[in-house]
Parts: sequence; structure tokens; C-alpha cells
Amino acid sequence: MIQLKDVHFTYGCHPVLDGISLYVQEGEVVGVTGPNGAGKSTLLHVIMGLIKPQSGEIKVFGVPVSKFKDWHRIGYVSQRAAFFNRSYPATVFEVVLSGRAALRGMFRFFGREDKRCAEEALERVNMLSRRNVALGELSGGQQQRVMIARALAVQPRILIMDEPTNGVDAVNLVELSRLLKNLHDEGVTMMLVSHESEWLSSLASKRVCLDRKICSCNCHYYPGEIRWRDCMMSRQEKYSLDCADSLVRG
Amino acid sequence: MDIFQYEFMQRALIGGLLVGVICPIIGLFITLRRMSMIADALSHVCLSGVAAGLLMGAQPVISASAFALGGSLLIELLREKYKNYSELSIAIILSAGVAIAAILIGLGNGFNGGIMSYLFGSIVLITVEDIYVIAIIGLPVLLLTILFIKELFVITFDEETARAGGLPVKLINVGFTALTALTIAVSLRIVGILLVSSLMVLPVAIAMQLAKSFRGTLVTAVVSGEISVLIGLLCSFYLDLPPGGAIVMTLVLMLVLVLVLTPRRAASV
Repeated sequence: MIQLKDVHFTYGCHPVLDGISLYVQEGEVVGVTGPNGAGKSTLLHVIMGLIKPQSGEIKVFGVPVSKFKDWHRIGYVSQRAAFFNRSYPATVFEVVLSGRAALRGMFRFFGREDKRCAEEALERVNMLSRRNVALGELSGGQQQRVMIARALAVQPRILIMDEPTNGVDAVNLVELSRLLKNLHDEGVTMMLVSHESEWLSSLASKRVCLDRKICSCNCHYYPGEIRWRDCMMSRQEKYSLDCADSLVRG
Repeated sequence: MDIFQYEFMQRALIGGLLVGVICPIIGLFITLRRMSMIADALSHVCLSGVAAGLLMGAQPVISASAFALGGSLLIELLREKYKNYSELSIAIILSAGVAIAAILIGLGNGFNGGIMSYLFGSIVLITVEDIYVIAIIGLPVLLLTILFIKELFVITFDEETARAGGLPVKLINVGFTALTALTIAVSLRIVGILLVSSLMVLPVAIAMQLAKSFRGTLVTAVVSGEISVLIGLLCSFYLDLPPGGAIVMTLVLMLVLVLVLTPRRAASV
């Protein structure tokens, strides 16, 4: 579904992604973790075509990302979704329905099909009963479920989430894990980025530790799994050790 | 009502009701983009456009529209230059608008006080030609805004996801700023240059206290705008007040009433 080959991205002279190769195949749950500034969000931005890498090849559903048009096949929950304007005047249903705006196309209003898909998405995240509640009145965990429903409203083949645990307390984190597991059981492929490496380990079938380079990965094209030692950087050594340990345990 | 037998009041009512719909709709998205001050900047650019129109004998609303469009594009260009201080672009254009207006008004020797009717609005001076110009520019602005309402919702809610979804965010943002400029230009004859931003922002402030859904906020803002235009025009006629001042003071009183009656929501918005 998603292929990255030797992707390099730098902000000025500061390398953020240094030769990243990664594959996301149908049915997988790929978890990407790493310390702050490791390039996790940048990796997603590159995949989503929001920024252009200096070199390397990125394909989405077999199409080079620069030529890819069917973005509705990907459900994206950005990190900013956790920090949205809480007094934004909108109900849960209006927010979820808005997820179908790009799919519906310009100069066209939402129709019955859009409303049905939005209701179905709310049902999947168990929030249909709260459809008419203002978004700002929900807890952090419930708001995150609404954001996931918004991404699911386009009936995507893959769900990509950037730091989904932000703003979610411990109790709601269990609920979030259960929801994501259910979605995976329903056949949704997922790519999750989080600094919570242990939480990620409990969900991901393919686990990647990123620190500008891919430090470790339990996948066949990174044999040995403990390659993280090769690219370890002193400032992040402790974090990366913890991170790699949790991946090995997971 | 008897007063609407007067032709100038009929013209004021038609123009007023039209801007009473457009201003709150545009104002809602301006507020949600947290760019309320853009309306002030563009209205001051309109002042220079009106002065240029009066100086050259052109239709002032049309010259104000042209100036406002230019100003809106410059604001977008400057926002790119000052990405981390985007409010600077608004301050720069506001200053330039006032400076050009001061020079042009000086060149026109104050236009015999005629500029005053554009500063605070005037119901007796609205001509049939003004109404045609307001309708020809205002109705397409209204139609385009309604057609792009779902895209504007997505962009104001979460711009990153909008871009990731494949929406042409930059194009829509520039287009929306241009629509804002045109809205201000067509509204200035009714409410005046100095108060047009109030008709955009105050109905939204009222609606945000009363409604919790997006649709509800939009409808409440438009209804508030229309009520204020009607009451403001009546006050303007009977008390001989400038219509802009009367309309905006009606909105201020409505807002105070709403804030007093809904104190709990006031704390959360």
C-alpha cells in the first residue's frame, strides 16, 4: 500500500529523514516510534504529500506520491486534531461529515450517501448516540474517537494516525486501544506514529523505531532487529534503549 | 409600514438586507480563521478606493471593490513573506490604505464632505445605481461562499487534514480573502467604511453564544445581522442617525443582552 525507498528529507542543513525505506502492506498495523525530533511526523507528512523529500521514492497504492490523487483512500488523523479549537461551533456529526468534503468534490453539497457514511463511521467508534453534541463538550478520548470517525467517513483502505494518544487519559487510552484493535479486525490497515512505544507495541504487528534513520524494525528487510545500535545518537541513547527494549519485548 | 413607501428607504432596505446576509456569513469564517482584523484592514483600503473613485468620477463602490481586491491579494502575498507573523500583513495593508486615502482626500479637498457618507453609511444617498452594483457584486459573492461552505468549514477546522485530503487549500484561502474584500466594498454604502467589520463580526459573536452547531451558528448570525439592519434602518429614519452607527449599536445591545442571559457559555467561548 505504501512504499518508501531511501527517502531523505532535510530542513535547511538539518537532516530529519536519512535514507528511510519502509513498506506498509495490506492488513498490517505498522507502529512508528522514536524520541522527540526523530522525524516521526515528518515521515507522515512526506507520505501524505504535505512536504516533498529531497530524494528517494514514495509510492502510495503503487502510484508516485506526487501523482497520487485518490487521497480519500487514506484516512488521516493529524497530530493537530488533538489541539483543535475547542470552542469551534460544530457538532460531532458535522465534524465527521466534513471528512467527506474532498471526496464529495467542489461545488457539490453533501447528500444522503455522505450522511449515511458519517453515521456508519460514528457507529464504528461507538459515538453515534452523541452525534448532536458540540465537539467541545466531549472528553479528550471521545474527541479522538470523533477524529477517527472523521477519517473513517471516507471508508479508507488505510488509516494513518499521528500521535493518537495526545490528550487521551489512561482510562480512555484502553478504550482507544480496543477501538483500534476492532478496526484492525474489521480489515483496516493502519500506520500509527506515537512516542508511547509500549502502547504502540501492544497494537503494532510491524514495529519501527525511528531516529532520523530507522534504528530497528521487526521486518524482513531490516534483518537482525537490533540495528538501532548502528545509528544511535548520544543525546537520545537512553530513550532509544528503552524504546528498543520495549519493541523487543512487544 | 409607511416609511417603506419612500423610494430611498426601499433602496436602503434592499441593500441592507443583502449585506445583512453576506456580512455575517463571511464574518463567521473570518472569525474561525482568527483573522477578524482583516476586515478592518480591507475597509481602510476601500476608503482609498472610494477617494480614488470620487477623484476620478468613477462609481465609488466599483473603485473600492478594485482597491479591496488588490489589497486582499497583497495581504495573502505578505502572509507568505511573514509566515510566523502573519498579522503584520494586515497592519501593513491597513496603514497603506489609510495613507493613500489621506493623500487622495487631500487632493480632492475633502470632496465637500461627501466622503462622510461613506465613512458611516447613508440611507438617503443610496442611488439605484448603488443597488445594482451591490446586487451584481454581492449576489455572486453570496453564491460562491455558499458553494464553498463545506471546504471553508474543513479548512477553518483543521487545515492540515484539509491539505492531506487533497483540497486546494491555498487557492480557496486566496479566493475567500477576495470574497471578503468584495463583501466589504458592497457593504460600505449601507454601514460605512468604519463600521463594516462590525456587521461581519458582531453577529458571529452573538451566534457563538446561542448555537452549538455550525449550521445553527450560521443561521443565528444571519438572523442577527438582518434584525440589526431592520432596527438600525428604522432608528436611522426616525431619529435621523447615520445607518451604520444605528445598525452596529443595535448589534452591540443584542450582544450585551445575550451575554447577560447566557453567562455560562460566555466563559467557554
